Amino acid sequence: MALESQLLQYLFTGVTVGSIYALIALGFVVIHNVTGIVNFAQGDFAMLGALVAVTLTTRTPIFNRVFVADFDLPLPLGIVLSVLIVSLIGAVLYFLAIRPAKGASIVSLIIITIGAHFAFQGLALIAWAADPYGLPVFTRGGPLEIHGAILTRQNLWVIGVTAVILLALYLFFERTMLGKALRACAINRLAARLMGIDANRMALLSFVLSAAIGAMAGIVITPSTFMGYDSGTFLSLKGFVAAIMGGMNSATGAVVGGLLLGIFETVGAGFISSGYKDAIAFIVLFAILFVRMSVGVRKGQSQFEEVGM
Amino acid sequence: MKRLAGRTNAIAFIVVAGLLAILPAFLANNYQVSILILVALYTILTVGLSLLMGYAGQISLGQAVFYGMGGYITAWLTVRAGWPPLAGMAIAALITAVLAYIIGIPMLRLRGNYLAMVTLGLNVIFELIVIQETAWTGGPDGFRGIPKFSLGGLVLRTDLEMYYFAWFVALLVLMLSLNIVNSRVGRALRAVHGSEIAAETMGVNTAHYKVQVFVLSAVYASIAGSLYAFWLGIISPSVYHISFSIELVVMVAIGGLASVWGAIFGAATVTLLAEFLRNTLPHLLRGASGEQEIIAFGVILILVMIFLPEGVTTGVMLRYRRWRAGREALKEIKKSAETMGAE
Amino acid sequence: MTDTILEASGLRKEFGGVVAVHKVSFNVARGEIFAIIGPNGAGKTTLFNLISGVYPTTGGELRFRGHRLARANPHERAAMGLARTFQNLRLFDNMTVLENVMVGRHTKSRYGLMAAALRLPTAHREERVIREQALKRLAMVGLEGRAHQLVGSLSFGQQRLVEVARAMAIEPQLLLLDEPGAGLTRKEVEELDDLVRRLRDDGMTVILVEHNMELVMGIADRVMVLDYGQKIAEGTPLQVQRNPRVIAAYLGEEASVGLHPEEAYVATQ
Repeated sequence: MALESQLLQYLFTGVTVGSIYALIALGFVVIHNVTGIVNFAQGDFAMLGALVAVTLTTRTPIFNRVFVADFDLPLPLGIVLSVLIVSLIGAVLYFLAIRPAKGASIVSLIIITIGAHFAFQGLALIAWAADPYGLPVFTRGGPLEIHGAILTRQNLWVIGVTAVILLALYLFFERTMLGKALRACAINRLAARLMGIDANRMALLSFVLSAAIGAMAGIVITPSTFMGYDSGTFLSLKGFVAAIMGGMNSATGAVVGGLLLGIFETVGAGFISSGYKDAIAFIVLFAILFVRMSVGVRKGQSQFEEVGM
Repeated sequence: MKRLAGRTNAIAFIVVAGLLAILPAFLANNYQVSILILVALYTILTVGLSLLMGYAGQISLGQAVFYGMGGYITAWLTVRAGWPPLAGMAIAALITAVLAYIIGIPMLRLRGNYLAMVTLGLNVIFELIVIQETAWTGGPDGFRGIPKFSLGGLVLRTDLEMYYFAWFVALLVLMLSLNIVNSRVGRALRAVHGSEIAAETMGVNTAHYKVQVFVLSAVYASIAGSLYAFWLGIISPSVYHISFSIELVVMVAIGGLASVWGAIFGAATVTLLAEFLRNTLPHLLRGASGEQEIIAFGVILILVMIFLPEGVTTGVMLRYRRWRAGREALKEIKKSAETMGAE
Repeated sequence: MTDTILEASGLRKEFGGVVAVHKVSFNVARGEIFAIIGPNGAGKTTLFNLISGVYPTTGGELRFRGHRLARANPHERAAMGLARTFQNLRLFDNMTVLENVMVGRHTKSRYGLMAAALRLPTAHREERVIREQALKRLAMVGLEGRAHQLVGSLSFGQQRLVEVARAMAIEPQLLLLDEPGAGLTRKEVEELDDLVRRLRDDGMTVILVEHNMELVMGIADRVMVLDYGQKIAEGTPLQVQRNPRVIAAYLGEEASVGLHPEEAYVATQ
């Protein structure tokens, strides 16, 4: 029975980790669909979400111990505030860095988000130093045991929160005017403009929405893993791989990609080597791109942007 | 000088080489010589990345990996296998080229900006390998005992000798790059940059040239990495951190995309700025380790891309040329208005 | 028997469900000037993009000089002797007029990265030929005096001619000109008319998408008319002009200008 419970354990851990990748991948997809930008600062939203939540809820010395943040807010309130703050940061990023570069090439815009990623990382280093931070688990209590595999309550929270966010996003995109407008923008920017949809507003919305999703991802994972100023890099990378696995423009694909990547990683780390756990994502990415390339070449797909009819 | 493209470039070469030759006479200490050696190495790295970013329109966040491969492979071949330095350097460049080629093919054939993320990931993996495979790389303590560069009986012992050699290689790389830019291959690359679709329909295999320029940038990086290893005699993982790859992108942004000469300017500016920040930040911010300099680089990247998306030198030159063309056009209009009045 | 250079059978192109080109078949004979006309959005440029390989086809078959084109990249098609210009100019703004045309000699030269970097004698030799040939093409469109200017400093009409010269530099067997007359002055159109005839006399086949009916009816040997992605007529200029379906299509265009935004959105779904 040992193998069965071990596999089940991998599945539980994989799905939990994968949920986070899925959320970050969703953030990538939302911004990419609406603006065409690959946002390198996506993982930093998660890092900021977690560290802001920590600062609001527990006594935290910040800015090189010059200040001590002693808000001591209850966890739920801290979480909500943190998500709001990070959403605001997403808006600020858009207004300060993306909007002023209007008309710049996609490459320039991507370089801007690379710059933003490092600016965020440096600011976080100044604010929180290089220490690892954690949050308390959301609910106390022993773990569940299923066929010898352990599922902690926090794991359930991660999976549950991800499911709720997905449902909320689904309702937002399918049932609200704003969501439909955003989707129209993603399908065809030109047509959306013809319909009178303000592309700038939609781009802003995509950054705010991605920031909020990212923040939530960072917060919900932090009780199970530590978060530090440089965690954003890995989260961005993994989220990106998940988004690519899902095709880079499909929300469903991003979620499936995230979950699969989480499972691959856990199984790979378990069977092969935990030292190279972080390398697995890139081997997967590389394999996908290679396959996509050969399939694309065989199908004679256009390598060009659609130049208009 | 016949081998140089254009007279301006030839004159520029003589001037720059002359300045670099006499510069050491004005340097106060060895520290300043070391900084200038770094500028030479970073110039080599920046030229390659500038061609990649400027012509192929692709970003590499993994140039530190190729720099590191140059260093580690050279170190291993010279120390463990007892090879002569030049052979070690050449084989390192060859292996690096093969890796870049393998990575480049899928990345550059697909539409989209995968290369940036993939190379970023590559950098992460490279660091893992270098730290974990202690038996091969020396692990976190570094690879020690790399010999000085030597060729025949000539050994480069002092920093000053290394200074001249590093700049000799840097100028050689600049010259080769200028030759490439002003050739059929360079025109194809510039065409890709101008309009990828038009370039394709003119018979340019765009993917092929993108891969070539990526491989070229990797080879340059590897050569710089070998020189670095010969110079210091020890290499350790911290040098090849992602933040160094970012610094290189900043150098390109400042030196100008697709600008060969701008590379020196970009490399010098960022190297000096980084030294300055490393020395002053800890005083400004109590307990700052100096790593906070990445904020400055992040902000510089954002500002440059907003205001001068072609990079600082290229952008300024372009604006100057446009201004001058505008003024000439104005003059012509005035002149024709006058002659019309005379009739 | 005439020699067919391009055969299109049942060509089809969809963009996410919208049919831009629907089952279009036609043959172009070697040495012919073949014009494609039709109202805006009829699929003319899309057809060019299919022939030159910018878009993959959704269905149907293309044969150029007897070879199937389906798998060939645009650059491979160029090497086979197929060149084109673009309706909304795609010149290399970062280069001079001469350099733009020199890019057109790419497939006619060989030397690579190493030879370029080391300035080997082959590079030198080939470069001289490239330059001579490019200058010759520039002279043919009357722009040799502008060779060393940045291409962006030329007038719109001159830029169109640079595009034509650049495409000519490939020495194509088949030249696709996408609205070469748009934005040209009357005099420039006359020169263009002249140039196209000369190219045909030199043995080149020309396919022309054009709105200037005077130009089309004057030089085309045969005309094909597209409407809503479908072929509605083909024949000599005179035959086409008298075709009732063609007249209806052109009258209809006047009435349907200004598509309602919601329709545009539905159309792109």
